[in-house]
Amino acid sequence: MGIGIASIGVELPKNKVPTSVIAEQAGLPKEIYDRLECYEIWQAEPDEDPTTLGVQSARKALAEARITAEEVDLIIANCWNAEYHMWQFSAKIQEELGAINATTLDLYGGCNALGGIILIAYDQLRADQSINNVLIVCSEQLSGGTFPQFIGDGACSIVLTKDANQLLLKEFVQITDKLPELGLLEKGGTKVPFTKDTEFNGSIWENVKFNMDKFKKEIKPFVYNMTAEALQLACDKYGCKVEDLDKIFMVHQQKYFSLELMKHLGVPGDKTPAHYIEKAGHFGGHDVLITLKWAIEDGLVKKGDLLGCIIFGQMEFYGFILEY
Amino acid sequence: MSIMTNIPVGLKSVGVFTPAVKKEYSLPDGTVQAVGTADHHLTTFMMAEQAFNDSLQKSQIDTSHVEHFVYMNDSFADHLYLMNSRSLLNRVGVNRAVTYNMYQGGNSSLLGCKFAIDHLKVNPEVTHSFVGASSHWEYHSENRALGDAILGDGAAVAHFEKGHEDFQFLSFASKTLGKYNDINYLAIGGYRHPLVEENIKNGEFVFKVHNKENYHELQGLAASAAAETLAKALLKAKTEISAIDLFVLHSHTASLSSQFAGQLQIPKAKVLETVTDHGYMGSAGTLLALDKMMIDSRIDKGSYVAVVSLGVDGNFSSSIVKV
Repeated sequence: MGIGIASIGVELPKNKVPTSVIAEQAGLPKEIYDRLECYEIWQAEPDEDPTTLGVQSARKALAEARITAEEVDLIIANCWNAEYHMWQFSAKIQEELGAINATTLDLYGGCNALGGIILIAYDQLRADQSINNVLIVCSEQLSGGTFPQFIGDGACSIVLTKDANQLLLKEFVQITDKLPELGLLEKGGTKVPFTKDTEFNGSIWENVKFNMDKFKKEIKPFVYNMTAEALQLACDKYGCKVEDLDKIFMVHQQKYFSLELMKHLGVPGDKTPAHYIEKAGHFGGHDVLITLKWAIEDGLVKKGDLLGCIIFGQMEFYGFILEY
Repeated sequence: MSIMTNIPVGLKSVGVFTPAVKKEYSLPDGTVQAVGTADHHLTTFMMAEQAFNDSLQKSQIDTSHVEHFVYMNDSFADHLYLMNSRSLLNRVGVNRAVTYNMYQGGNSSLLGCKFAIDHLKVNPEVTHSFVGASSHWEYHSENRALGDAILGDGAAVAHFEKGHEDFQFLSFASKTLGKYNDINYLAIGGYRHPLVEENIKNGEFVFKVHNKENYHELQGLAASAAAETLAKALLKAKTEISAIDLFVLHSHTASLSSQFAGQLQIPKAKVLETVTDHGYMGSAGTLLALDKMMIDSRIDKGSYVAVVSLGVDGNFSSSIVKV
């Protein structure tokens, strides 16, 4: 017994869509489509909004953990594309669940946010005697995108608890270094504020300037090192080697990226269940938890296994170790 | 697994930056509120960088000591959709550090202080943690009004150090009333209404009160909800309200703080309140109040201070600090 993940609740939309359809709509070249190796994703209908998916996944997580909403002490949530900007998504979850005793907060970020959320939860469960159950909710609805992978819609919630008897959190490491900011939305902040004359053609994504030159020179050559380092440090701190890990779960990029990273870590490619990319694409940081649940259900993970997890995004890198 | 340390963690310093330019705004009750205002020549990160450097200077340490940094994401940065905590660390000159951006509606830095302190308590290898916020409302509000509050600009960064015995946060209690999630937000820029040119040109990308009924309802409940957190914090610290020498109250408006003080029969002479002088600065305002606390002549070594933050966003926090 110890601090660990008591349950994983997953809520996915009803519809699955072939990625060939999305690729055609987006004008994605065939060689890139082939390289992504993802053939279908879940895509939400308008009534399956981020909150609905998030609340449903949270209900499943509470039921699986066999705790009531009133027993939740802290709710930490993330939804990059939440219903409104600078809105308390976590407080809405609290209201919908009736988790009246939970303090709530949102963590801002993209795929990286789940790492920061687990960091806070892990600190709080160790430091605060009055906190026993932390509900973590990640929901995202950004389907249609094709970078760095086909983006799927879906939500995942976990209950991180003090007295779990599975998925014990053994070690946790976050790394953020001084790295270049690659994507910048120049207009709309306090430096270049919006005015009535602002030209803003298309969506947010179409207005972001991505510095490909910096990426190629300052990030790409080191990307496997950067992605691997947090897990390697977590192993060092725990006193094991990466080879001792039975399975490694990671945020979905291209399937070849997962396999190359395994090579970089010096372990066989089948240590990571990269085949899930084919049927799901990339949800967000919660790829790690959703595929962990699927791997348990599919019998790819057995009791006592040591599991490595890698979350990254926005130049933040997380590595942590679980014991099933 | 790490073991919790018994080494004390104390507030070492608070770095502060407030703009020199002040403007006056009329409050709904007819009084006038002067607040510091920034513009595009004095950006969010410029203010935050100055506050960060001020905290380092006051603590007499350099950037190599910055190990953990919690940023309150409740105003607008130089650019939208950035990882603000990392961007700010880059500007200050900090390389590797543990950092994240949290959001709790606009008054969250007391919870951020708890996270900073607890991180130091359970991570033996970490000694220094920082909590920062920077408020800049010139371009993303309705003429700086947020309900009955006037939004002021400025930044503050608090530094907590393991081994520092002064200003120890003995206890903490918080409460979220989730029903009030829909009071403050931007209608534009999320899943429901994506950010597009038409909304920008119409000036709709602003943070404001949307559910006025809930806002007014919560104003009536805020003092009681905050009092509940204070009672819990006092209990956890094993002390009583009569032992408190100073009450640091941070809320939307001075009148809400007065309402709270009146309900608990706290004499005015024991209250430290900063909204009257600076307007509502959100999380940065709470940290600014901690800076004022550290130099307040009404307290001395061994005094007890209650810090209470009353958010009109459904979040309430209290902490008992031993000087």
